[in-house]
Amino acid sequence: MEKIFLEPTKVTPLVHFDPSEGLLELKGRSSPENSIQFYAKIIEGLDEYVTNDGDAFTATFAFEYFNTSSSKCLFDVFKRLSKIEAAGKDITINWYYEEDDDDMMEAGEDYSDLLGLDFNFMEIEEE
Amino acid sequence: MDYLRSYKNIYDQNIILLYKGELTFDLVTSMISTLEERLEELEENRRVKKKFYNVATECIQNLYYHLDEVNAEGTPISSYDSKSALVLIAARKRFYSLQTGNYVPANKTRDIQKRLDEINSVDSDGLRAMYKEALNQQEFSDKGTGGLGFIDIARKTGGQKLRYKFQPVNDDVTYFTLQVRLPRDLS
Repeated sequence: MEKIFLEPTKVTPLVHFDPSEGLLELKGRSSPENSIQFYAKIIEGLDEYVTNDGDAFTATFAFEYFNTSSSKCLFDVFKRLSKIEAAGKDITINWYYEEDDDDMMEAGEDYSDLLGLDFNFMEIEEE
Repeated sequence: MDYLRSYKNIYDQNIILLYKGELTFDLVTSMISTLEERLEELEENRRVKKKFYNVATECIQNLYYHLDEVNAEGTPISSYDSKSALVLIAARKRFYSLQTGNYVPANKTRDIQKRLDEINSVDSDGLRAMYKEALNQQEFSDKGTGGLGFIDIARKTGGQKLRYKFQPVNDDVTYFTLQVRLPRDLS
């Protein structure tokens, strides 16, 4: 399966997806012109992972901001994570948010609640 | 023409961004970067800064996605103007005001108004429930938007009502103005 590594830009997050290691990391800001296109490869990769040999997957999210269109795509990402879990694999979801960023914390709680997934909520302390 | 007077009017209202014209995605991104830099100077509260970035991005991107919907043929509006946006962002003492204006097809106004009224009728828990429901149920439009924009703006501004106006131009076209207020004194 294909690894994905993308450097962050003003409108897209850092993406690190390594199916052979069972790792997905998204970090930064997400407000691309076409979110569906941007997230398509990650979602495809996760679909493949459902039937993969790997038995443990860790997904880490550390967003500073995402727009509503990305929010829908992230919902699709979490649906795949939920499928991976249903396929009997161990799944760990880490949700980082900056200190006092209640909006970002709530966004994580919403996904967790809608899909019945366990999130590890972690606050990043500001300097 | 008294240009100085025009400038003074703008300065006196503490306008931090004023734009009229067509939008490209790159221009939207530049506008948001410019606003972010201005906020670094204007705003000390980190949470307010972050919320402002959120709300401004959503407002301006939202506008960008919906500018091509009006057919100005047979109207007094030029084709350029029909696809033009108006963006006016001001730093007031107690709140930031984000105003947008654009032409919309008259047959869409009822749906937009219904949506805004629904959002304005609920409290913050209601908004959260509404957001989750839209996330779970609504499909993407062909533009990749998910009907979440207004709800998100209302959530992030802490229950401020979305102020709006629809002004009919003719049978087919209406001018839509939206004003969002982001309070500066978040406790």
